[in-house]
Amino acid sequence: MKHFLSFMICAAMLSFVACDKSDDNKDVNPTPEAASAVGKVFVTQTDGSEFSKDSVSVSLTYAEDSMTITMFKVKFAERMPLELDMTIGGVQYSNNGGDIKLWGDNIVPQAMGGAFPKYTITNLDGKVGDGKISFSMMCGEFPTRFEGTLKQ
Amino acid sequence: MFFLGILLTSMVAQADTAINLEGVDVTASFKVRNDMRTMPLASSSFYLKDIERQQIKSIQDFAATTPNLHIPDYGSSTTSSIYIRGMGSRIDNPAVGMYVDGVPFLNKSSFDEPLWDVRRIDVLRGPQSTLYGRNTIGGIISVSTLSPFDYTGTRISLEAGNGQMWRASASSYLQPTDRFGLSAGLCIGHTGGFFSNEFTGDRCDWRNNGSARLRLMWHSGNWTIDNSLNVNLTNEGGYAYAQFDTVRRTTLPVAYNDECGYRRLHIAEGLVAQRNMSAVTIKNVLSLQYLDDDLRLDQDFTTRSLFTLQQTQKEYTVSDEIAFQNADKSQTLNWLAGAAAFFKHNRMSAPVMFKRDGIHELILDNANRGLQTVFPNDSLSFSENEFTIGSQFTTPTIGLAAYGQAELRLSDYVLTAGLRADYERVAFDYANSAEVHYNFSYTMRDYRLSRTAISGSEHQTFVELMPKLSVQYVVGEQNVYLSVARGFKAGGYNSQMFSDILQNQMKADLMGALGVYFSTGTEGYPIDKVIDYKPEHDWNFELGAHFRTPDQRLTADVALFSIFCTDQQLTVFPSGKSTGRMMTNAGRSRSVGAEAALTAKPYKTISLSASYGYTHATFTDYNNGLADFTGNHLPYVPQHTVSATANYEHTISNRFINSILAQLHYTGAGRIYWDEANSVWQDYYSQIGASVGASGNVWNLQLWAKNITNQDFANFHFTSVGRTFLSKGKPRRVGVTLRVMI
Repeated sequence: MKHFLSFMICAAMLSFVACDKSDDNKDVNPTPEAASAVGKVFVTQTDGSEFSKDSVSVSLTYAEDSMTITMFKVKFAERMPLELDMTIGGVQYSNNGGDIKLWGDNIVPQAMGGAFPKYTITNLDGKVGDGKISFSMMCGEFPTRFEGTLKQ
Repeated sequence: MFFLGILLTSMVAQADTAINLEGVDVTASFKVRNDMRTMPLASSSFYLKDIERQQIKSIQDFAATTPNLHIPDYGSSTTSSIYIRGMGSRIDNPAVGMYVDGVPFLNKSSFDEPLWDVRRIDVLRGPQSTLYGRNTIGGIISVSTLSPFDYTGTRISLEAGNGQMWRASASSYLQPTDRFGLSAGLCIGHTGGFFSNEFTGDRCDWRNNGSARLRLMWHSGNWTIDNSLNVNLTNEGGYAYAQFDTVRRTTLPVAYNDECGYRRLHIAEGLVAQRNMSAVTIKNVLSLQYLDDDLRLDQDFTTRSLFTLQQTQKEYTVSDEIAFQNADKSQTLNWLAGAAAFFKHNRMSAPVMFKRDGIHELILDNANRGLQTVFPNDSLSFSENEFTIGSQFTTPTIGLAAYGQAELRLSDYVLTAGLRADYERVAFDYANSAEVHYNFSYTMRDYRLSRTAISGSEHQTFVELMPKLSVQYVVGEQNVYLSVARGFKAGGYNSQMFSDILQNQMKADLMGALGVYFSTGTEGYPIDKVIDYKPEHDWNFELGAHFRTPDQRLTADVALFSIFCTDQQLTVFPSGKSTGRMMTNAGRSRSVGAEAALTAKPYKTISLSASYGYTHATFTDYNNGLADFTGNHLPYVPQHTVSATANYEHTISNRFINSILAQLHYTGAGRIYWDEANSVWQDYYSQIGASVGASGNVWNLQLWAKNITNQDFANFHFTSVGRTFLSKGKPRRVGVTLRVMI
């Protein structure tokens, strides 16, 4: 009986070990699927006032080691006569069970068909989770943040 | 050689210069009587004598003497815009039908051809759609040329005038047998022009023209066959369009740098066959037409290199109409019935070339103004100094119709009722594209290709019913009538808009490729909202009368009309720095007016004629989305048209001279508003003409002058690329004409 009990304990432990091995094969931090969001962008102006723009669309695409944020038809000041599609590539991320953290520094965004060094992105920091997205960054000289809701 | 053979043969043949001017044409239309003054409609007729004495050589010339008819000379024979009683159109479908020897000319690019050896011109005012169908909402112009059954012999005409004008025609009319006649003629002419283009230093409104006509006629007992072939070739320079300074209200000189011109070949073949039977007369008119033209325009009409247009079209048309009427016209009930069909295939190419200044002013400057507020040291540029927006259009149109009209005579009253059903299907295939290589200096090292293309197919069909009802009270030579009739003008497609559509789409595509969006908008046109226009309809209510004294020395015609027009098609230049023109259905309009014409022969040697037309045509509902024009006058329509002619002809018993003649002629027209806002207009203006001449047995010589007072007036106004342009009327013209009839 003692041997049988020991066997059962060992079998149970092995089965747990087996289960653990099985869980190890399952990816707990997979590459997130591409997503899009709609939200509001806030830009602090050189005089300290804050400009905001509603209904800005953002797309998020992920690679294994970095992600890309594209902001569509965004403008950074009230008097700016045009809106831009701006792409921020090479953003770092971590995925912790669907809670995604974003960060990046010294990223030259792409817009108008090429690189935009004047608006180099620094101090990018943000998160995606619970159906929401938010990030902040310095866009050139302008403190900028975005808060939005993921589209289903 | 054939023509010379006929000419030489006829010169040795017996000369017979008797011309059956007002006699019954053996192939006359079923739809009108020879004496239209006995009919319940308003009309004006010109005969060979009037036409030659008044130097009527184009459709613009007789328009000036017809009440409420206005055909301005826009400086090119491609643009025949005809207005009757406020109904008219500048582009696409005409408001007035044109017939030459019974053959319908379906494209108004072929309306303006030289008139020579014309036996008769009839203008029917008011909608004639019940019998003539589409595009007769304003009326009908019918031209009948001399036939070998009207006249036999040879006619030679030579004339010259200022503006380096000369014209020569020769035609021979033979009747080898009682049953067979043939005629052939040729007319060539040149005008050096009256207006100079200051940029080139050359005259811009020069014109060369050549026409040939061959007619074969045969009649035997119950059959009549009439085959006519008309060929017209024209090659002309451009448009004397001068910029108008709207602030100082002065006209600047004509000055533009790119080529303007128009070349056209038009061939019209008509075969009329008529069969007279005891109870019924049957007539069939078959026509084949070919139109091939090439229009070149400096579209900005400035010395800057903005943009040009080269529009070429090839159009094939076949039409057939068969009509039946009762043979005995003395019956109480007379009737007419018929069916008609046509097919027209138009293929047009209309590339617009944007040149250096145009690329900057119309495309890049706007974009860079926006970009440089953010990137002050950078700009968008194209690698090309010029690029082309290519446009191809194919427009096949088919029409079918059936109509009938009955005329009931009850004592002194004649009741007429008619109805026509028209079916029409018009399709529109378009393919437009443009390519440019662009660069934004802030982000790009190289130029990148941007290609924009728009293509598609559309079609629309419509069925129209056009009734007519009239009651006429006839006492001897006098008659009074009351009539109501409905007319329609076909719908169509705005090919002129595609340069604008593609240009805007190109900007949108370019900005889209850059990922830039201006707050002022770079969206393309909503094609479905600008591409087509619907048919136009009108109802004409008319009260008129024709009077004639028993000795026929005094005739008078009067008419009062009220026209209610719905979906009136109007040309609109889109706002902003746009390049296209578009037709829109302007809502509703109303035109009321009056016409009076008087002829008198107080003495044997003197004959007088005068006519007056008044039109008050206003929008009753028109808001184009930018402004409300309700209550404003319709553009391009003269409020008053006046004509007066005095003829003096003195017979001389002389071996060489039979008679001397003199004529004084006055015409006036205006006020004419040029835009829907009624912000610019041409006031009433007058022109005086005169001629003196003499005639012998086989010749007549005439010295003539037109616009003797050198009246300065505008006959066209338009806006392009934000600038206003005027086209001036022709100045004083003098000339001499010699006619020989052998």
